[in-house]
Amino acid sequence: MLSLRSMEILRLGVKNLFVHPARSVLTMLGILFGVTAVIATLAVVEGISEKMQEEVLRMGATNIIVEAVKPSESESTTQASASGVALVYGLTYADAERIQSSIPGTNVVVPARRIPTTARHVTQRIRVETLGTVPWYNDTYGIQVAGGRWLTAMDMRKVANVCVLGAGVAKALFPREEPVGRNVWLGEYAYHVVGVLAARGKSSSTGDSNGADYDRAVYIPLTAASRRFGEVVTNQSAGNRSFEICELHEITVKVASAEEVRPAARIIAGLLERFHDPDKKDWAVRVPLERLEALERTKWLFVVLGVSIAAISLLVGGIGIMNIMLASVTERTREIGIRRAMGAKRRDIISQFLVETVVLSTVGGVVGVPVGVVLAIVIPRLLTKAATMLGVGGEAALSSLSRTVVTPGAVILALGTSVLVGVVSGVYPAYRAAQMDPIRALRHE
Amino acid sequence: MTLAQLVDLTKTYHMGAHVVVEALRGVNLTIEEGEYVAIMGASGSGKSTLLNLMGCLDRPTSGHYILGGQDVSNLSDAELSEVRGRQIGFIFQSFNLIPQLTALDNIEVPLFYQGIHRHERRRRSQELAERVGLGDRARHRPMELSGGEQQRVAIARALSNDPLILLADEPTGNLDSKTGQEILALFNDLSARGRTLIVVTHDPAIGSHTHKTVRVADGTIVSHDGN
Repeated sequence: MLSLRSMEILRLGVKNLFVHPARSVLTMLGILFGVTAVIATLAVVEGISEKMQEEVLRMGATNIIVEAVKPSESESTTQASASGVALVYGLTYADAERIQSSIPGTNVVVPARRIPTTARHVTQRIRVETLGTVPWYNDTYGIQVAGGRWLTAMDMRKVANVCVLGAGVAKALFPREEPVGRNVWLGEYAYHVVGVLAARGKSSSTGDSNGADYDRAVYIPLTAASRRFGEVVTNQSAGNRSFEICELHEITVKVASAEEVRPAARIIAGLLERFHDPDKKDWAVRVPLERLEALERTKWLFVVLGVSIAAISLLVGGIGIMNIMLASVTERTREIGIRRAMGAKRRDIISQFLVETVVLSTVGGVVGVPVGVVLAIVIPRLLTKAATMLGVGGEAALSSLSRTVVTPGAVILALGTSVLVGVVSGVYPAYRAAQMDPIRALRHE
Repeated sequence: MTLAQLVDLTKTYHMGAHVVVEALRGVNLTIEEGEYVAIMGASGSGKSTLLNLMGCLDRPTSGHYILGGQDVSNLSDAELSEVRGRQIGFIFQSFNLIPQLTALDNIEVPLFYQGIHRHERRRRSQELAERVGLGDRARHRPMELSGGEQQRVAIARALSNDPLILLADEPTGNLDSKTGQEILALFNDLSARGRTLIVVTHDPAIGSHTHKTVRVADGTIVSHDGN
């Protein structure tokens, strides 16, 4: 009985909306745009966040990355040129051993050296980063080998001149050949290519100078790196020549579970503090898990920001509805009087007007959701197109906008808000209508 | 049988802080079932206030109004709405039809608030449209109907919930005399079928049809003659 009555009231409300179709559609547009904005904003934020999360997860949620930090440029050049000796900084094999032995539950410790070199094959040459590392590096970082094999313990022991090429390097050096089985020159030695990695793409965190560019790297056994390249790295730039000595550039520590990440990171920091020069902080501990959590917080900031902006347009839409409804109530004063005389209770009048606003805003929301989804799909394409037309590189910015994700939560939020806006904006006009004195309303011209 | 009884009914309006208007000062009136009553009086005499009270659109300041055996003088707004919906049928001078609804939809308005099913409403409204002589005009909107036709729709609407009393406020005031006569003929017919009718008017022509004429002046009933 009750549902039958609500159906009747709903039918009456919809009927009344059709009395002024243009007015109803225009009023609805405010909500439609608001909902579209909510969906699109959340989709962009969600897309960026998902991409960044993948990035962090690629570094490994249970990894702790200890990096060598080169002392600041001015400091290093004055020191190096003044004394004429090589700059000594960074992590050491001793650090790696200490970490290995002092952290309980440490599964893997991965030391690595990074040496910028030129890789050559016949006439092709390319600047690469040679990474001297250990056979379990790929497991720690989840690196996929596309062809051939990864470095082995045997390679380490034999100090073998073998290398695994990043996808970008392989493509640049061997545009038309299969690289596995060929030789590549790194510095003064030739290395046998044993494997090629699957393409992984660039780390999007471009602000991070240590961010690994997996595609532009060549991996060789750590032992070979130490022996062939020595401890001294020569930097030649603009006629200047500087030397630096850095045993290890990176030590990755993989712990068994996420709960152990924080304590382990604290122990590592403590160890390094004890054994390194306190005046020259030449190391840094990065915890991807912490970045993931920071990311989560940043994401919420963006969600709140985006939704607030969208909320303003919903607010404006709501004000539009309220405005139209107030006008409509005045215009229909006589009708209200008639209905009251015919037995309508205040409640009936309230529901009649409330139904109209809720139907308006809900329909606006229901139409706005697909429009928002379409917008979310179109945004990355439009941005890419605009960027190419303007010739703007902004690759990093583009790549973070290249994905938009519409979550069910966003749709529910948008729809819920539109219904709520309908109720809130309808309550006052409906109340005004219901409070009218039937006698006066009947006499209203 | 007594249908409606007004006992020492008063109504006082406060206009602003100091102006007090005594629209009704102690009205006593009894309406019997099947009576056809004209209420006459000059404008400002209080006859509109009397009509509003009898129609349960307003509450008296003091006194009692017993309608169908129930004292309705102190009911809440919602209860008064209920009484209006079930027991009163209004007919207005300016018809007061809802412009965006068709004649049939207008006839169904009181039934809508009684929670009567759509199909039943349509059945009753068609029957009533036929009874008041609307015929094939029933699917038109008020704008497309003549004054007489609009008043017929209003009468059908007033009859739709089968009320105890029909209250008409200057029902022929907006009609030419010929159409007015037709409407009065319809009233006579309703009265002959046993409907209780109260017509507020200052048209003496109506007075000649009614069973009794009540004259109101200065907020009281000054004469009370049966025809």
